[in-house]
Amino acid sequence: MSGSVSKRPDVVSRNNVRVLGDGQPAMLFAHGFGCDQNMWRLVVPAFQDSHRVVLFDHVGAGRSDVSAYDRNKYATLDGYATDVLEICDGLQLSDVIFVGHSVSAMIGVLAAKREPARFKALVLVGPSPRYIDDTGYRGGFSRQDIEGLLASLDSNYLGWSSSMAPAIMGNADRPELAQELTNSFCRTDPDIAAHFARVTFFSDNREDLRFVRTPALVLQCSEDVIAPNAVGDYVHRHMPGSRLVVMKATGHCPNLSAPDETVSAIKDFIDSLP
Amino acid sequence: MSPRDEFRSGVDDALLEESAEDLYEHAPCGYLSTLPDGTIVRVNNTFVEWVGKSRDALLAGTKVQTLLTIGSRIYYETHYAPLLRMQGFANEIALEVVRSDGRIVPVLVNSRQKRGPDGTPLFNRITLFDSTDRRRYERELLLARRKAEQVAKDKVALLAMLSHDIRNPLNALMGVVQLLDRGELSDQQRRFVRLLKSSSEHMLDLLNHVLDLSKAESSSFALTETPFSLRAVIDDVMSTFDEAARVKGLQLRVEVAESVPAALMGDPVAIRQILTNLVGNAVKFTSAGSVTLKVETTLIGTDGVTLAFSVSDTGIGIAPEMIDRIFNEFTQASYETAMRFGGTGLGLTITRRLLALYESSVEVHSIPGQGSTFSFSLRLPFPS
Repeated sequence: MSGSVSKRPDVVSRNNVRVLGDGQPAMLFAHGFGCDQNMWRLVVPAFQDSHRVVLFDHVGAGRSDVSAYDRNKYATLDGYATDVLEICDGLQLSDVIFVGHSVSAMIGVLAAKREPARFKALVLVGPSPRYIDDTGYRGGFSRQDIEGLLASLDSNYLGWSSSMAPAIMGNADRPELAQELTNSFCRTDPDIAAHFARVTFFSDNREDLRFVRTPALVLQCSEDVIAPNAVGDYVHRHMPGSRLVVMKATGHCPNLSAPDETVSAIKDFIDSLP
Repeated sequence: MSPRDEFRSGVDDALLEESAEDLYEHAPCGYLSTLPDGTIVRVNNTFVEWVGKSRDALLAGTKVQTLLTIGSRIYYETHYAPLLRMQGFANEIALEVVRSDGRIVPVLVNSRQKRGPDGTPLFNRITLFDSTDRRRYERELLLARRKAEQVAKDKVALLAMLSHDIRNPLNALMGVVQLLDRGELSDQQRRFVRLLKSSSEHMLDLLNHVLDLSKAESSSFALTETPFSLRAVIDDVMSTFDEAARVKGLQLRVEVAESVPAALMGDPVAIRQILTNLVGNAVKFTSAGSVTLKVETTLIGTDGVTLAFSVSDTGIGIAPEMIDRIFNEFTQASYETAMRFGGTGLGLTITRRLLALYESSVEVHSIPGQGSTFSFSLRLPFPS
């Protein structure tokens, strides 16, 4: 209310940052397209006793400050990487283990490329540096497929307006109380979601991989249509010193469908770090 | 015959023999049970027919998500599956199933996850409704909405451009009229020049209003926040109407409560404009009596105050059915009103937009023939 503009953004309210535990090194968990920090609810309990766990929502998702959304800033994944670095800066995190799911895996790669000293390690869950096929590269999708996704978003958000109402937010932390009529998780602003989908699925960050020297774990699911095995291989081959673990879990969200396997793969990796 | 028997005798025997199994198999919707990873373990006949594959093929390890279009498949993986896992249900998810002949069936999906005592997911129950017609209707709605939004945007842009382009030659015109007015003129020429002058002033007023409106509508418009004196702003606004009120024989009254702080934070330009619009209207639509601007403090907090503003007049008033309409662009209460009182009809629209930026709105109380009161509240912080 003072009218003065502070130079540092208030990342805590902008990105709805939550901090649990205080062990070192700190772990920063970043959710992917389509959801919010709730994505980590089954994984986080395994780390919060031994690590300072930081959770946040990308601007436009969950309970982030939607008014902070700037179409130009978020026109590329680099804008989201800026937010990750600002969160690290705001919370004075260093030597961070960054855990990014889906598109946030690449956001972590971009952040580590810009400020390598900030990160101790990267855990990339279902990463893809490019979703659309290219000459000599198979991402799994055509441009037309992505237009299909955008149409699908339209259909769903049209019927979903009720699930974005703040009135139902109260139950987000107690799913057993959630009213059986609305989808209360992963609320999102429809326009932002459509833009985020475009930015995500039309991104090409293949060139950025080789600049990252941070130790990285590539967690690859079996039968992941969004980030197929060949893409996980590609990321592993182009990131010097990365480790690839192919999990038994299927689908794109092992953090929800196979939390135990995900946790133990991350723990093994952390234990192996110097 | 008992009433029940009487009822039963009127019902076809075949219907009475319908078993739960028949209902499951042939219900007018698809039923599926899947493992948590989507593998189909049970499916009804209706769904088998929709997808055009054999039941055996579907039950040989097919995952339900592999039957979707690619766009739907991404939605399934990024939205639907996480939602179902986290909240145990997912309602009215719009997906598209691909039939074996390539035809696409839009479906609406409801799911429940059955879980064990420790919360581990056991299997999913899924119901699918064919929503072909509904989807077509939704698409039409969506397109219509997009079109309407675009038209509204275009209208604002066009208005802004036109008024800007017209203002430049108009300013030149007004300059020349002013020069003419200073010269030697016959009485008749003087009358013509006065008419030119008042008409061009009215036109400039209209254009300025249009520009203000398009500014207030554009998303980039934001209020400034500077320290200012509310009493000085009010004095300023009222003094611009002194002459008009004197000519009409109206009393202009200002009642600012003592509890209103001397200095506050806010956008003095916006607040001046809001008050000018409301007081200006009150003066315009009142031919005898008074116009009163009142400001009271309704709440004093640690970092600011909430003020209640009201502008009352003893003018012609507004019919109840017209009250909602007067806030629309270019709408005055009636055509006759416009003819008799002039004006652009944009003042209240701009006022409403500006107040919306303060998360406030105008309330109107009016009795036709007796007068109107326009009131609103503003929360303004103290200067730090």
